Amino acid sequence: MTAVDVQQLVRTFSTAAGTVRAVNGITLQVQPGEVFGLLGANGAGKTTTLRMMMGLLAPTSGSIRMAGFDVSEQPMQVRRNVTLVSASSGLYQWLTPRELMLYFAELYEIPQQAAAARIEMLADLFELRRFLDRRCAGMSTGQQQRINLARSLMHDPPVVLMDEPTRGLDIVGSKRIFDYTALLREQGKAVIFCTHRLDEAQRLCCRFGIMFHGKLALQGTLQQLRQQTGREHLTDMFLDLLQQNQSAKGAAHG
Amino acid sequence: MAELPHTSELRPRAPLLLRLARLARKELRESLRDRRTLATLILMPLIVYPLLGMVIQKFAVSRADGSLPEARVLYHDRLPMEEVVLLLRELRDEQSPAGKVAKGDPTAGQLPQLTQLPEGLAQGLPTTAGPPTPQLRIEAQPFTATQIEQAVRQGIADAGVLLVPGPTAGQASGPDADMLQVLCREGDPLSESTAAELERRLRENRDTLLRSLLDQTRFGRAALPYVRRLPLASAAPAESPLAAFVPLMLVLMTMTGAVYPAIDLTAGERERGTLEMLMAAPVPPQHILLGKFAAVFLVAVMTALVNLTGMMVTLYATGFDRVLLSGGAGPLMLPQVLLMLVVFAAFFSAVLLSVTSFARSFREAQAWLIPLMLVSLAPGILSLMPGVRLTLPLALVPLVNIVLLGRELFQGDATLTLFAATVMATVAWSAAALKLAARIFGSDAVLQSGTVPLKSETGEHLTRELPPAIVAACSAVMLPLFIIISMSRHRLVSPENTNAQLLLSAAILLTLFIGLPLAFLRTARLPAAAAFAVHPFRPRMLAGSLLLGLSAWTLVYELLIMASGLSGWSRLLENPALRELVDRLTRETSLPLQLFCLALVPAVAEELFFRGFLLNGLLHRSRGRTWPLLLSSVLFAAAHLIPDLALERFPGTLLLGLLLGVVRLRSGSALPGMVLHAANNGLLLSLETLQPWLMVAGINLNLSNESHLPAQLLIPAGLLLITGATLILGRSPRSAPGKHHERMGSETGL
Repeated sequence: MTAVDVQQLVRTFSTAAGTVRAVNGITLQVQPGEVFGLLGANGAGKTTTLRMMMGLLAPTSGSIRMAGFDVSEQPMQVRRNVTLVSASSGLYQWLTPRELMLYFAELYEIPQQAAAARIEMLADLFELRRFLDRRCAGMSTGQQQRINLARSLMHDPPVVLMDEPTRGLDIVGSKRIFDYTALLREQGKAVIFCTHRLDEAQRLCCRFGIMFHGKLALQGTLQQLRQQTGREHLTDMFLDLLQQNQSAKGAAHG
Repeated sequence: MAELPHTSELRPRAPLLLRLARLARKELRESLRDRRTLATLILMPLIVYPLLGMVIQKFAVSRADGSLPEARVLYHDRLPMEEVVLLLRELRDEQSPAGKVAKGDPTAGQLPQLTQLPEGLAQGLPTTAGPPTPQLRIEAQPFTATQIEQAVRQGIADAGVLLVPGPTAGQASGPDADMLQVLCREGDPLSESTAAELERRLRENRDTLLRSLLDQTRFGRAALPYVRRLPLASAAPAESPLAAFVPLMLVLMTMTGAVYPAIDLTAGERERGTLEMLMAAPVPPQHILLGKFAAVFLVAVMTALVNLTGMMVTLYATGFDRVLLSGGAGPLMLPQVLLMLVVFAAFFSAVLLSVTSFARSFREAQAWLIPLMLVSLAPGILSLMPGVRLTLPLALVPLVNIVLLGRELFQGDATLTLFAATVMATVAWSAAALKLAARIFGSDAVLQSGTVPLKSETGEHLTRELPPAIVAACSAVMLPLFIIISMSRHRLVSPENTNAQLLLSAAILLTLFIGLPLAFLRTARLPAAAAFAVHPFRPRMLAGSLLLGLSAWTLVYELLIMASGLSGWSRLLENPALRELVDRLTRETSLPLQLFCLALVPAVAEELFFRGFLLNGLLHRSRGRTWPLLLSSVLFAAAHLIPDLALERFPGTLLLGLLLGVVRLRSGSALPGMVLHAANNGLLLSLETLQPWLMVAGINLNLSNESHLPAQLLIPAGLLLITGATLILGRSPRSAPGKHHERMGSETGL
């Protein structure tokens, strides 16, 4: 079964300046055991796409199936089987990481014993044990990011969406995220890894989609992309896209 | 390729209430761990009430000019004035070394000012609980017992001294059996303290006399009369300002308690980025909101409890409980007040959540709440006004009903019916507010935090639709202009010149309702025709509009007659100013000019603005069509209140606005509405002229006596109305458009 199946996805926003098409006709599939790198500059539409996949935003048009469930028709099943790890997520300052994870276990209706065991496992994996029972207020960015990751994996979903998970992390912190993403891949999970850091994506992902102005400008394995563009690195492919866009704009204005 | 491992059914679903309780527990835990919540919950009442008690006491003790309250005392015509002077003089002043009693000359008919300053008050602080001793003003003339009783009951006098047959009357003879009776008004603090002061003086003076009599005559004590106080039931409307102030204070403090958690659990969550992960959990947003509501509600109830306790303790300590609860509030009073505060807490928590769910940040939520709090204060202050009583219609008005009910509960004169009505109305309002909050909370907009890229650089502009911001900006400029120009109309053109006045109002409409939006559209480089909803439409819409325009006024009129019968708006259709205007128009202007200025121009200008420009902007902002329709109609009706606030015009104009709105939405164009509007106004203006023709047809219109329209008119008008409505509302012969297409209609073709 295809873990993620997105067809002709469009999302528009009304702004004071007019209507903006943040996502403009995206089609992509991700299989279990695959890490798909959704790449692009800030504001390319990556986060909006992920939010629609999670059911947090209704698409203007198009269809999304996650883990076999239609996002607009079976939103609760989608949420049980998908998780979103976002760098912009915060923590409840007055709760401890353990209380936070137990609360989410309740939201996902995980039995108490299983939840306690899962917390132990995640605490070891992300080295949270030292501050598991301290309130979240005042924790460092790295600690918060790790707690967030642990929290979002409490229900052990088959599809994992990661939105800039390494933002604000140092080298050790980033490496921990990469290691875990690799582990998820080995476990057969489907992962969509959103980042604007193309170098880190190149090392981690099986396939790539480069978003540009709401569209998926390039899609394929690194090999396929190299053949398509004649470029070795993702960064060069992206810079070419920018260049093409600018010359197109120049031609329009000229 | 690996097979996708599905999350298995994890455990049997817990009952809804249990799941909601779990959601609420976390919200409550988070709120109660926050020191800021605790501060409003516990610290505020602890500090505020004692301070308030001190201030009120200070205020009650010393008037603005520093004088003591004055009490008017009457005395019985059976008592000789000399005896009154003797009995009511202040002994302590005479005895005190610094005694400065003002003694008048009784023979000159002047009564002495028998005053004394209580010792405690001399130092600025009361030594005893309760209101201070009043200054006694004893009337120079004696009165009969009946006069005194009535005067005291009605609050004309504060106390009276009577000489009545004592308990030993019949056993002993003559004046020995008489008794001095002090009358006061039950429950009135000034009257009661006056009576207490009179009693004290009478007893002390009697005892002094007794001692001197015993010295002189060695007669027994029975020679002197008894002194007894007789409280009378009050016939005066005794409204303690404290009785309105205390519930208002409790309500305000309950509100304060709910504000912080409401912001923190909605806008605060969004700002911290925790709302998204909550919404990504497999829990319906409505359940999350219910959990938040439960937490905010519980904190508000806790605040109410702490405040009620703090308030009662303060009242008891300062002695104001006697003043406040003087009306004989029963043992049920406190539980009733508590229940009232609980339902209010529910109502206000839901209102708060629907407001704070809009906001993207803490600061934005606070900015939203300031106007809400000001709006909430207005009815509260209204209830402080004397003479405003809780009635059944007022019991349905949120907040006003609570404060008024609170006042009546403290005064002990709340009826069970009004209590039940207030509680039920507030519960109903709470449910409505909660439903609204759930809708807002569950909407996309809630999740559109600052992280969603909305800037134009991230995407391309596709269509050029009418941005709501332009409509809002234009309306914001127009409203003050419209008010100022309308109010200064008589200065611009002489009010005597009716023709010029008519032309001027037409010019105002054209300039403001068409010219101003045009200027805004030009600036934004947006096409005007589409913004004003000038689109092609089906011919049957035109026919339907014409029929409705000719007949709708009868429906509106009949509805208003029915409404006035129901609620007693007897002058709904009888505004003298309006009538005079119509009379003058008929006398001084020609019908064609009237038709041009009051039918054609308003039809064109108002349809383009209200059903075109404004409704387009509102439709763009909203997901449905009901709210834009309602709001544009309310604004349409409100605009017709300017500048003379003729409220009786509101219901009729609102109905017309709704009808025109429906026509606009069904036809997708503002043009058919113009026909309806012009026909409606034109027909109403022509009724006077048409009267002879109607008489020929056997129809006698007499709109001034608020009677129903004659059947000869109603039946054809009803037929026209039904035909018109069928043409407008009937399904299109073409294929039924999709939901999206239908909603936006042709107005999206900008």
